[in-house]
Amino acid sequence: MSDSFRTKIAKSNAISVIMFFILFVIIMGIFRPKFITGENLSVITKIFSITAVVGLSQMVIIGTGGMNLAVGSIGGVSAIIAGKAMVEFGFGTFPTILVGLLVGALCGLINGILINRYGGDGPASFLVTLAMLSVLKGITFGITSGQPIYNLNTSFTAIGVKDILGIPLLAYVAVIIGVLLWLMFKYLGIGRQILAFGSNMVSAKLYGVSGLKTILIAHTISGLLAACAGIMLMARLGSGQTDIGDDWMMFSFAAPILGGTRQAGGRVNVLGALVGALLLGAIQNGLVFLNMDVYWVKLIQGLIILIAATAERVKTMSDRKRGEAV
Amino acid sequence: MSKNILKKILNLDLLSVVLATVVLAVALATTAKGFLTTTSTLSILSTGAVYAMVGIAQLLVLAVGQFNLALGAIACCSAMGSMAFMQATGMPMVVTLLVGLLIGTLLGGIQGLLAAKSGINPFVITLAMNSVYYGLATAVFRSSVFNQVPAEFKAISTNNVGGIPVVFFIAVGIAILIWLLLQKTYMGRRLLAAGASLSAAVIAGINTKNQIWVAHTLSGLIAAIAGLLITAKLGAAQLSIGTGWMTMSFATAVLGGTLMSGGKVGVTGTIIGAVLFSMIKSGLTLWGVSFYWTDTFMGLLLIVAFEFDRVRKRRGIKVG
Repeated sequence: MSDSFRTKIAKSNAISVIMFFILFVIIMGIFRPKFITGENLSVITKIFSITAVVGLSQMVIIGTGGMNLAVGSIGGVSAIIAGKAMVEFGFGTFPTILVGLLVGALCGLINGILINRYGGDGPASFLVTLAMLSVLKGITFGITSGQPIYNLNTSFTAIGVKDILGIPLLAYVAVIIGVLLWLMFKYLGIGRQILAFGSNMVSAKLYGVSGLKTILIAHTISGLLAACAGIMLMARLGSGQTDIGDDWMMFSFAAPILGGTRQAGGRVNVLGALVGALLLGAIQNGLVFLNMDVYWVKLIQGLIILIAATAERVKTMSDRKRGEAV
Repeated sequence: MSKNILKKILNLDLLSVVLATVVLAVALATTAKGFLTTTSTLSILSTGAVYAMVGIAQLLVLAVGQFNLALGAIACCSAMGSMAFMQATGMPMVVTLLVGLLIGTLLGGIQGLLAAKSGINPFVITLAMNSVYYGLATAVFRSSVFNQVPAEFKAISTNNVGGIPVVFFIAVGIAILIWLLLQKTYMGRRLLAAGASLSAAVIAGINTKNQIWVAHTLSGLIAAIAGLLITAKLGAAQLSIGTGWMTMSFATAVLGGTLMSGGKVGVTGTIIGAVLFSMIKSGLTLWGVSFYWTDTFMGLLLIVAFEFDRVRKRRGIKVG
């Protein structure tokens, strides 16, 4: 299948999601006009920014044919340690962010080492990240004794609130990360290796792709991105909450899958993940506007991911029928 | 000669879990105040009984090479559903329990159907169903707590024979039934075959999709049992049931000898692993470890379990 054709299909996925998004906004706007005020759109954009980075973090790992169940707890522990550095050790804004990102990268690295040790495949990634999820969550609790971290530097929290040209700064961060990832997957060797590994681990290894290197780099990147999202959220919240990342799991899969990233690995769709995050952010915000009982939200989230997965599956099947290489 | 060595290795495997349990018990007995009391033993074993059921629920799905991420949610729905039913209709305990089991079987069945037939990644399915089922419980029951659990039912956690609570015997009994099912019946062996090698099973004429469906349905049933057992212990059915069971379900199953790749299960080991887990939880509290670090320990334990699994795979061991 030629490259431009592949790009077309990738774009078509993103386009259908964007259409859904526009449709959703219009319908919501009709029933609840307050939904489309500049202020609310700004809120949606902020939700999008964090969901997007979380989704991209997971996308990288889905690309390897695995999954990262620990995105939430990596984000949480990185944010908390960064927060502690700032409040208890007096780190400035920039060094704090660096600390947080380093923690995330380290967690990702550990994940990668263990996953490679246990086979490097999908089930291995599931199990290791499941364990790490608990370990990191426990560390987050243990360090803070359940208490949130307050008194963060104003220059730090400003990141979560500031607008540039009317668009939240956080959104720029998310989009830039997206662009960087897109470039990596399209032009860098490691990007191709990750996808090759995800497509078919055995043949990728036969072709000389280093399983260890691929998994290590992929998970380190994923950890780094998860940490980034955690820091972004902490900036936006204005405090280091111990439950940062608790509800990320669902979205981390929903955004990339909605956007056309193949569940089995081997193909990612950055643009799709971004617009998927946009749609999810809008829906999340919209549910609040509909005065939907908190109680229904979880149910709906689960249904959303089922629909997303089914849609992707249907698309793969129809692609197959049309004779495209899948 | 080689048969002897094989036997040695087999014993060694289960032995390691038993050994760990014994060592821990001794350590706790000597260093933790209050470990050797009857209350403590009862508590550890009744919790262990619940964990054993959770582990077996996961084991059934691992047998076909899949994971069940929704067993906590299924347990919660079953527990709350049955208690709500009882408080609404006043039916006797037996009927209530049956309702609970039915709910679990149904929820497991739906999940199994999706996992087997929809072609969607089964991991994504159980992940989604976890949210869906918990969401269902939350939406239907709000934040109610059903605490009119009959005293006779609560008693299974405290009534004991020789210091071992009734509920533990129930758990062991069910485990034996499951073991018989998997090892001795045609249906069980087909399930294990489907997990051991999907392609070989297909060639052998086994309807692997059916096996997957059966595994999830049974898992739902056992999860419901776990939910009911913990309701007996807590004396109430509430939304928190099942949360945090995920890590433990894999830890007990894998520590107990179930291979993560499917095809081989360790029922006996799972029970011992469950007791071990329960002991560790108790021990952490008795040793004064901050409750906040419990999750970390559980996660580390899971990684230890993986090491076991890795070593086992290398040796090619079969555990009963």
